[in-house]
Amino acid sequence: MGAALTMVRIVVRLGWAIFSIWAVVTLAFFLNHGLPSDPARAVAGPQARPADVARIRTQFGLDRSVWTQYRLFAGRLVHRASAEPNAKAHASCESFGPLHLDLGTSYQRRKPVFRVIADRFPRTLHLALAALVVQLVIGVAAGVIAAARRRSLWDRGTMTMSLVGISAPTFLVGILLQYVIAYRLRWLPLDGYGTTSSEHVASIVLPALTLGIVGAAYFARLARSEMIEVLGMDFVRTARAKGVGPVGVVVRHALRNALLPLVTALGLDFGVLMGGAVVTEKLFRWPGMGQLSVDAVFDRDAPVILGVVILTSSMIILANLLVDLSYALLDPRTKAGRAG
Amino acid sequence: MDPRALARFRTHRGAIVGTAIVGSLVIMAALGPAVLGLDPMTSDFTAGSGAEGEPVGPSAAHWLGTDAIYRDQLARLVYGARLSLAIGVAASALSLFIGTIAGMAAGYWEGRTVGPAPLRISPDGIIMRMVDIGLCFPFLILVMAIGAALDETTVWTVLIVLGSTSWLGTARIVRSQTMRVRDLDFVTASRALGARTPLVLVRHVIPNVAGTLIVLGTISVAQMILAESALSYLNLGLPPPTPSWGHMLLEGQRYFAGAPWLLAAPAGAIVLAVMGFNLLGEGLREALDPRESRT
Amino acid sequence: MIRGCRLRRTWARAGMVASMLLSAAGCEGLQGPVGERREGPPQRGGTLELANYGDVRALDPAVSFDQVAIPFLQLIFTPLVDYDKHGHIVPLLAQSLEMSPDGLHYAFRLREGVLFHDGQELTAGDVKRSIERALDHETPCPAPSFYASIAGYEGFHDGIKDAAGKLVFAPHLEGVVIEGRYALRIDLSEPDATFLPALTLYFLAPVCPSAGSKYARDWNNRACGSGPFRLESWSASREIVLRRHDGYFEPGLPYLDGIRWSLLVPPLSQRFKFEKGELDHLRQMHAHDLRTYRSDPRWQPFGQWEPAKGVEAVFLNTRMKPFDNVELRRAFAAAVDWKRVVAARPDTVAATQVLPPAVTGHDAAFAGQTYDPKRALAHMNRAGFPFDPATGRGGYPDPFTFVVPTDTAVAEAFAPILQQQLAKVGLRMRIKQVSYTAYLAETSQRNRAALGYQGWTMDFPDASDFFEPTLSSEAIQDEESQNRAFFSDGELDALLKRAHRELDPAARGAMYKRCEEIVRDQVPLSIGFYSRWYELTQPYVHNYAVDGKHTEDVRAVWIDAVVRGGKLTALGSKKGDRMAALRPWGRR
Repeated sequence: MGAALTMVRIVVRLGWAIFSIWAVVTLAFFLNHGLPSDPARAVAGPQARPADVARIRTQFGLDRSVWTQYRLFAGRLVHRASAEPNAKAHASCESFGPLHLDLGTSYQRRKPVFRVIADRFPRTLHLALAALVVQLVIGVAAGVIAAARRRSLWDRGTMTMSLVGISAPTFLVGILLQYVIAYRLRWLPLDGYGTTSSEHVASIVLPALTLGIVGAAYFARLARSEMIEVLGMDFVRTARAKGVGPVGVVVRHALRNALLPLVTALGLDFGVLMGGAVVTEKLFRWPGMGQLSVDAVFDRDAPVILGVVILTSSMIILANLLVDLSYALLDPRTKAGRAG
Repeated sequence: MDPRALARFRTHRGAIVGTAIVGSLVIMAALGPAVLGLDPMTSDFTAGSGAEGEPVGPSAAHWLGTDAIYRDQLARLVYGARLSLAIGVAASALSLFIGTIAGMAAGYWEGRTVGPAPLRISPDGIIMRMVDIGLCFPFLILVMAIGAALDETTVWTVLIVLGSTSWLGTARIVRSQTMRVRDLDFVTASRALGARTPLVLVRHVIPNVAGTLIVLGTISVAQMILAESALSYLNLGLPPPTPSWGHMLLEGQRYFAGAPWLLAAPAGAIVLAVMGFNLLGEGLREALDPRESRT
Repeated sequence: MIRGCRLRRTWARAGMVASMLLSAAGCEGLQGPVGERREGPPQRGGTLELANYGDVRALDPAVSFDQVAIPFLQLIFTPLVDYDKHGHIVPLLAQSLEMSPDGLHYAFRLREGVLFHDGQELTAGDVKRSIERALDHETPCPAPSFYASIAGYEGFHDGIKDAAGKLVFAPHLEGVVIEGRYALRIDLSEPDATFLPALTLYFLAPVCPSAGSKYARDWNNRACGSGPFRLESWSASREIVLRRHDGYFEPGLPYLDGIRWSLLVPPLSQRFKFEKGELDHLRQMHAHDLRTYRSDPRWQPFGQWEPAKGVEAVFLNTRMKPFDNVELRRAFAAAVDWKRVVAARPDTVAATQVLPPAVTGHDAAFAGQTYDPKRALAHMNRAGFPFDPATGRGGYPDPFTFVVPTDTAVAEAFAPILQQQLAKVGLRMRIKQVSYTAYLAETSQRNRAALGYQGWTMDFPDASDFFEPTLSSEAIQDEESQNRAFFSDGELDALLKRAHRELDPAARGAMYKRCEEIVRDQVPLSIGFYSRWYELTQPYVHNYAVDGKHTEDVRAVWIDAVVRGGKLTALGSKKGDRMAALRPWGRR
């Protein structure tokens, strides 16, 4: 009985999620159209003569009314693969089984939007994951150790450094790191993505550190305060009284209970990271989605903008959904509350 | 104010430091421009320049040197303090205001619907869906749309942008706090005795979430200052010649390798200000909502 | 008490570390050049490393019109004619060119045995096919109107309405006539002095047979022509690698094995890489770095200024208040001291006239708008808005808004100085910064912007390219006006029309000189400055040509591999020694 209820709830949430995504995309479409500018002019360049720009505008179908454009866009977004595909009409489609996903063609890059995003998405994903690792390893470890050794030098140092960490703008951290480590010490590449796997790994370190340091600082403080709370609880004292060593106490008993808020923060953070660490990508020339979305917005490249919006909103909404679900799974209290 | 809270505040080290920093910032912002007497908007072409016309570093006439077009850096920093503080506080207030109302409404009516029979709506559902949508709406497009709708970027557009995109987090927190308060015994009793909703909200809910709000507000100021600098770095913030710290950062970055004081001054100011507000917020949290009662 | 001391110590330590970092950041000497320059015969081989801050969007010459792509098009494709280093148009792909006395017929004799990158031979048929491909009505070419004077253009590109009202397009461009396997003739419908300059652009450059006769979007990635280098790989938004085209028609050229061009590299990173020797050429750098390089005696022999190719100005909308009043416009021009304004940036030079130095017709001796505050006040008087500088009373009562795109020198450095100077004659200016696309939209609409930035870079180095699109009445439109001042002067229009058809260079020159005078006196533009690039190369790079007519011309570059490989190092640069010793010989 409880399981069926949960299933219904999940389906309802999923339905809401899809509605949210649709709402965001539609909003973005009309908002983008309302902005003052002319994508045809952005493609043709500022020096092209007006007659030539008009020709390009017609070729892109930009001289039609916004409702027509929206109708065409929404209609083609997800459609069934027809029995005899007309190659030209489906030039920008990607097939997923019986369905076609058509995100259109980028005005500026003249490539299918799906391809453009598919090129860049994994790189932002790698960066987000790497930043997350930095936050976890540095942040949580520092916070946990600080909590375990309260009022020691380590504790004070962590708190001070983390305070500075959350107070500094991201690109400032990035510039400093780049200057000191890449330029003066020459330990790591200055920017870019590299061509071989080892170069990829070397190139990801600095941007991940930049993105991660701020989050690490935040996580350090969070982990420390959570751990302090948990370490003061009864069952920990009981474990100590039973003779469990300090490491055992920390790892086996305390950490598990402090995990919940950390997981929540992690999940939300991941969504934000994936949203595109624009500034970091710009600084380190990381060819990811952040850079793509900035360029697309400035160029008014509507197909790319909408493609990116669809992707990032889906991911954030999905991440929220997962966090809520895992919350229900991890915390016995909420399940009991629901069933009752 | 609760005397115990005050005592806790006074003994918290971070709170003292934070108050000191924020206090001196406020004084600098309020009195600084008058005391200094230098105009942040005037270029001093006699300021002397290097061999190829580059700006010079700290000198007797210009304590922090001049910027790329020979304006006094110290004056701009002090004037920028005024701007950054004003934007930070105002945007925080806006975000807090919207977030509190939304959060309280969502939390109070969570799980319930209101309205006459055929038109029952769930405020919580609606508000939370808005939060979901708002959280994943691309920030950049929103910024540019607001700027375009209001025809240019001014202090007001930056305020509106920052305030209207950050109320979502506040709403979430206020919602969960409201839910907690709503289920307390004396509130249920009060409602059973026939107290109407607005009364319950004002007399019971608000005082109980006030502590959280004050803390949120203070930390929010810190985040607004950071957000403004990020906006300026992407060139979407206040236009020239306004000396906002974020914009000074952007200009200074170009001279990083040769004239680092142009970057160091606003960077240091931002870091210090944000640290101050963060410390103050933490101190307030310890004082108003100490850990023991937060289990 | 003890806790307080410890806290203060932590802060003190943090402060020390921070100041150490900052001072480490501040004090650094500039790295010297890698190696030294040796004269000698050109060497074959090596890969040139270049970088660009922008991203290349399209390499299909028919549709590519952004400044970033031009250096690449230069290397991959060969137009029929080109400018030589003295500024004269000479045949390039063609072996010889004859123009009929009435200017209506151009006969090209092509070189024989020219090979495309795919090995096919280039014939007159390919030239015609490429021209028609670019000017086809379905091709999103940004500049077909440059070639509107070719006979049959209207029928081919615009289409003609038939009896039923439907648009019919001619199947071929009748003005392009194949006269033999290597002979081609182009007929014009009227004499056009801009035709040959327009032909030096890459729109009509011959493309491989694989491009077909109709534009197809995906050919962009397989761009293939007859230039000295072929496209080996294009990693989107990361790098473009070009390889020598062994079948290039100039014997012995190109010297380089290949060129690797990194994209989207910020100027600071470019400078860092240049210092490490990972880049062989630097032109996009921050103002401060430019100053540092210019003043360093070790680097001075290896840097040169490229003649400015564009002019940047402030347009004053002649149809909107307050600048519909010509006296106010003159007051504006006299109130602004552009020399002082542009001194804030090292790469800008105050301008005297519309035509920049790289364009034929630029006269270094021309006396343009001058700074004269007294005369400015006199103009204000005559305009009916006298201003008293002593009291600050008077002047034009309402402030006006200056529309400028963000992230430009004008927005950040120059506009605030302009504001200060104008205030001294009673003109109050507000600065409105918008994104570039918004700036384009706003300033080209009628009655929208009273004042704004206007910049124009040359498409081809001819005076008509500057005057006609920005200052003629024909360029005025309600929504898309590139004549942002909405300036309409009968004499100017007549002169421009005549100069467009005039084939005698001396007569043309006189007409454009008169146009400059009209602009100077009527002030639709307060002519501001020219931006120029400072080109810096490593000592082992030879033959890097810097003239006004090409951009980043590396077609004839050769690398001194011995110097680059590290056998000869710069004197007195320890870091240079260590760096050079680390680089393996001939890795590239």
